[in-house]
Amino acid sequence: MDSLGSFEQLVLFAVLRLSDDAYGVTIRETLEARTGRAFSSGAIYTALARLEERGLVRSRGGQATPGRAGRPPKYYRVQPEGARALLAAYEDLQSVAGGVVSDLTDLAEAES
Amino acid sequence: MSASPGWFLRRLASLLVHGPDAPYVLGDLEEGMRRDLARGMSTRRARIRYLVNVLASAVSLARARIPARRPLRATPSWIDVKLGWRMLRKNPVLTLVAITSLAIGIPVGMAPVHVMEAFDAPPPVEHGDRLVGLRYRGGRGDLAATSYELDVWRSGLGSFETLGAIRRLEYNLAPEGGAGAPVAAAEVTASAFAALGTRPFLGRPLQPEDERPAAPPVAVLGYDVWRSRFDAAPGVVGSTVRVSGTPHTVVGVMPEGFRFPVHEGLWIPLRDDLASEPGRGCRSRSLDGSPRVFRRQRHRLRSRPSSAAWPTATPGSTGPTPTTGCGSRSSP
Repeated sequence: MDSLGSFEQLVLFAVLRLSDDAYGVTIRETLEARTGRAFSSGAIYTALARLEERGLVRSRGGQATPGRAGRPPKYYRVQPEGARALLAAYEDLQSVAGGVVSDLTDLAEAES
Repeated sequence: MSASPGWFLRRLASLLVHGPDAPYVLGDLEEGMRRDLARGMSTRRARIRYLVNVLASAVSLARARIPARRPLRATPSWIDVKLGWRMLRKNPVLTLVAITSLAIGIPVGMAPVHVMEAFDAPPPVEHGDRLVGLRYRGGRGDLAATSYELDVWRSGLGSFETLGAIRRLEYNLAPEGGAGAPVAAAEVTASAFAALGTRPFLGRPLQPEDERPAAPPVAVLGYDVWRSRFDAAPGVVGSTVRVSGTPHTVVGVMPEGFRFPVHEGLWIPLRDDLASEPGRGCRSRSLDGSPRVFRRQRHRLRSRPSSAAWPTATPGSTGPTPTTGCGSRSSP
């Protein structure tokens, strides 16, 4: 199984967190609120398309609303395969980072 | 100021954002701006955020459409690299000037070429370089042809392999009993599929009998639409979908990568009875939405055809010069 990129991991976590309300706008807002960085809708859909192609998420169309100029949202849900890939990526990071996070913090806070 | 992004930004977004997920991105842009305003953001700042999102989304979606390529394997001589590095370090000012000149000069020099190539690129279909658009040149600019003229050209121009007509629209597409979503679509003559020469991935293309007013409504799906909206169901051919509320029978699915004329994912028959009314060939009676007529030549176009090759679209006449007062005909 191919590993997940860092952005794909962020998107998967956001979809997981949003549960039944995971679509473009809410995913983008969640990522921006939690990372403090700006993300484009196109980048999010591109990542979601890759994830869906790999069977890690599944999409379904919603109902069109006037607030979206009559365009419906596309809802996403993490699939078991996606959960396994995300869990593996997270455990890898924890395994490698374990015991050095305090050193990392000290180093990051040290004056250069 | 209005709470909407405005006509210009909306138009810019629809021009720049393409791909199977474009309708969802455009919907997200609208909703995102409304949410920004609801949070108390100023209209000006919300519009700037909308614009930045449009541009960044267009880049992301465009990059996703570029097929991955294998990295180039360069094998420079190690001595060349060392000598080059020494020269760069020895003359830092010259190095800076050279790099700056290249960084500015190459993009500036190539930009017009890329723009021209983008405008001149043939459609991504088989023998796309043989497709040529047909239109009149009138006193107030170019005018689209009517389907009556299409009929005259079809019967009178032997040098053309096939003629077709197409009109781009946006429809709401919904599976039977499912939720609908907008999709870029095109109304086409059955001859358009013959002109393009691309065979469907599933089922059949549109056929001449589908164009008859009394024929049952049928539709051909694009590959991306078939995958994203119908879960790539192999039994989609023969099923019923709703195209802006009207039931249509799916008769075919086009192969992956087939997009015509731009990025459409749904094709339905172009139905019009003007061809049966010879007196209605004038500009003022052209079809609503101005369908575009195009031809596929037997060989790639190298020079303009002579005007003698053009029959008139004037009812009852066969000479090369139009006499309807509808504008003079131009070669494509």
